[in-house]
Amino acid sequence: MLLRVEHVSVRFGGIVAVNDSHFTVRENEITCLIGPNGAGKTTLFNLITGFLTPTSGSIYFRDKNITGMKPETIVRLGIARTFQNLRLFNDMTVLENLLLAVPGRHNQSIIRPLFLRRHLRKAEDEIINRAMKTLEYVGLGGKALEITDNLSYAEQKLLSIGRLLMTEADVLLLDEPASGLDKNSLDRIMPLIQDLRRQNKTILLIEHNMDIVRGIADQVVFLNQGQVLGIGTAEEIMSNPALTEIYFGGGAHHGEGA
Amino acid sequence: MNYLYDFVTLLSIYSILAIGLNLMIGYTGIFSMSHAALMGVGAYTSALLSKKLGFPFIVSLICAIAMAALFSAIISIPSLRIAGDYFIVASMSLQIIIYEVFVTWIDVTNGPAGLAGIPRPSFFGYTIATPMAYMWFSVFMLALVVIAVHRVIHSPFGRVLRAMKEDPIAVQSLGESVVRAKVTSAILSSAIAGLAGSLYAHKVTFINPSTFDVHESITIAAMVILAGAGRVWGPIVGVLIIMAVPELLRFLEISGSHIGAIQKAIYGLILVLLMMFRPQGIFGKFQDSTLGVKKHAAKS
Amino acid sequence: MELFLQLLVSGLALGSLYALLSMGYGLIYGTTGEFHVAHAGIFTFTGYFGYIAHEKWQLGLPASIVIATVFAALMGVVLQSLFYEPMRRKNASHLTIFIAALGLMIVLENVASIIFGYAPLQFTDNGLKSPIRLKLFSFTPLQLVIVLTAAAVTVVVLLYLKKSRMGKAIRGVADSPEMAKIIGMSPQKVHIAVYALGSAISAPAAVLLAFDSGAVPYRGTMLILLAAIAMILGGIGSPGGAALAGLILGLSQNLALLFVPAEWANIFTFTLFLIIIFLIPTGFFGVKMAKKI
Repeated sequence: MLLRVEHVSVRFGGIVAVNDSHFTVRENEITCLIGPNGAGKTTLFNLITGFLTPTSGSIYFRDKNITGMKPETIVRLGIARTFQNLRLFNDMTVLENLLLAVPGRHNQSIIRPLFLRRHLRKAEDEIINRAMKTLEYVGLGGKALEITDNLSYAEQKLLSIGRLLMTEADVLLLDEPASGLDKNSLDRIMPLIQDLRRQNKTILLIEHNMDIVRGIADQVVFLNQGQVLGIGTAEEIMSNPALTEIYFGGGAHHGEGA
Repeated sequence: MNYLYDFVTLLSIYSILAIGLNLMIGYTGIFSMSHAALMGVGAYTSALLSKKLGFPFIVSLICAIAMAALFSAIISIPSLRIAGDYFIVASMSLQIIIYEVFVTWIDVTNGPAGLAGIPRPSFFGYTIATPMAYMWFSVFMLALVVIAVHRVIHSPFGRVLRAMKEDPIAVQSLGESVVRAKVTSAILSSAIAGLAGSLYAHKVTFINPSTFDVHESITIAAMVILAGAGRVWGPIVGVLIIMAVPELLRFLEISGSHIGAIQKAIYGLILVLLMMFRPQGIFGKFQDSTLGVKKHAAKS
Repeated sequence: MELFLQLLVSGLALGSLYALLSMGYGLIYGTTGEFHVAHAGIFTFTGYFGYIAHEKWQLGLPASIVIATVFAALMGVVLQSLFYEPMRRKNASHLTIFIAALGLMIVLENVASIIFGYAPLQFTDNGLKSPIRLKLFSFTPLQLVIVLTAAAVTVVVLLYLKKSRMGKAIRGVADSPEMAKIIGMSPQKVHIAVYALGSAISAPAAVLLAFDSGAVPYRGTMLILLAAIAMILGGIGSPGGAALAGLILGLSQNLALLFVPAEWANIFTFTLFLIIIFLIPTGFFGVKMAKKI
């Protein structure tokens, strides 16, 4: 029970975006969050990662109450996320995107660049080494100095996962990693995500494509209108007529917008 | 010749001030209206410690830097936590509070009459007394500041600043505190202002509050905005141009009782024209300037 | 006791002026997000408009206020159309617009100084400033006029914002900029309306202040800071809150004199308000600020 979302609700004015959601994410598993558009999936991501504070309920990570903590603190504790629209630093190089994700005080230090430059340079070299290895791992070796804006969409998605890896977070929240990708690109990304589980990461991902979900999910959480309507394996969820009705009656199963 | 030395000295001191402020406005995107007041804090601290308590110059200088940094921290830390224009309002308030204290606390600052007899800096028996010596001293300090700011900008911290300008939320999602970076930038910037203040006080040996009022804060901001964030030393050019305006007016023989107002109106006009036609200033963008295009209006 | 009541009276008057000033300024900021400090420049010029109407054209005070208000509204619209609208079209950031506004404020103040001079231009006082002595305190008819005018304007504006079509559009746009398009009103129209209205709201205060202590060119910086503080204290997005906070601000500036010698009063009040803003960032009536995203 690595991550526990307990009876979490959030309301904006009169709108209840997430309503008493309750589920757990187990260590070293891939959990898929599915549901029609507007079900509140990305809102849940925002709640877990501290970009939103729930109006009621709590979130526990490794039995520690992380409700209401700031996003940067939660990342340091070990939960990191991607965004649907990637939010890469497009004007910076691929390498710089990775370097920015490394935890530690050196990113905020002005003492080191002023007085401890040799020390800083050594530390930077180590980080660059790690970044290059990560680049190789996600399949972007050789693109280190490329300006991020010039990458293809699929490459940018790979980079966003690479960035996540640099944070050394154990729990990775992926917001629609497969959306907008063709079959070739999917064949690059999906094995990568599965390999992450082998690397002892825990994954929570938002996905619309049921084939993909069936292929990789250890657990599926079905969300509609902010409420958790079902938790189980992919088969259990998909064989529930009430849920499939909502799902295929309501939203598209490929594409953007959660 | 002395006139030239004094001009270069003043240019150097104001360049130090502007380069410091550029760190905030150009590289971090925070607009401060209190920089003249912070310079004043440095000036008065250094002046009083040297004159009334006989502290050696180095000590006064360090205290000046520390005091300016402290005052900045007092408002930066609470106000930068809050999004929006809080910092601008807080810095305006700080400017007015500090200025009024300079004017009102006559027992310490001597009020509008000013503080005279500020001793010259001396190191190990050598006193910097001549205009030429002070010029070299100021240019040396300017070089130090340029190198320091350059190092900070080209460091991981500088990288975070660049990323913050593109997308502060993405920065947070990678585990970096945007607020902390802003506060660091503000404090460093103000420490540099304190340095400039101390240099100024010991150069002119007489200071009064009017040098550190809100109009001065705006003038310094104009220097920074004119230069833009593209080069660490860019603000030197901004200072030069702004300092040239009164000289230009004198040259064109525009004078009279309204000369001050004309000068200030020109500064204001420069700001307006810059923002309308070239918000990134002369030296252009550091990354994508927060001065300029709203980059992420469309994103998420 | 007498001192307290006297300070209360003058505080009410001053606070009423601040109320109108911050309500106009707050309306603009709350709706557009633009930190339009040039509002202070318009405020300054409005004082001079009032002076010209009252002294040169010999109109009575009410007519002078009306004329000055019209000029203020026009000035607001011209300024925003000439300077802000082109910048908006280029997708300029709010910081850019603020700096332009700052530049405009400086130009306006100094141009006023060049045209009208440094010294305060005094209105002819037709007895409005002669104090009426009551048992415990005295007040001037001018102070009464100020308080009543401010109250009237506040009520009218709040009603307008609540009931009228444009008023609702303005409130909607304050909540979300796309709202304007949804309602079917162009954002440009809303901007024009807001700048006209905002400038007009503060105009009577400008004339009355000038009537009280003379029209001067350089009051702007201090005033706009006070307006900004009042707006934040009252809560961004709440014109009524801004007005109330302005009133409280004026009251406390005066009542501070009970505790602090006059020279320290400004320092005292600004420091106090700085502390309050830090403790309650959303202000008293403010909408909870959108936190992180």
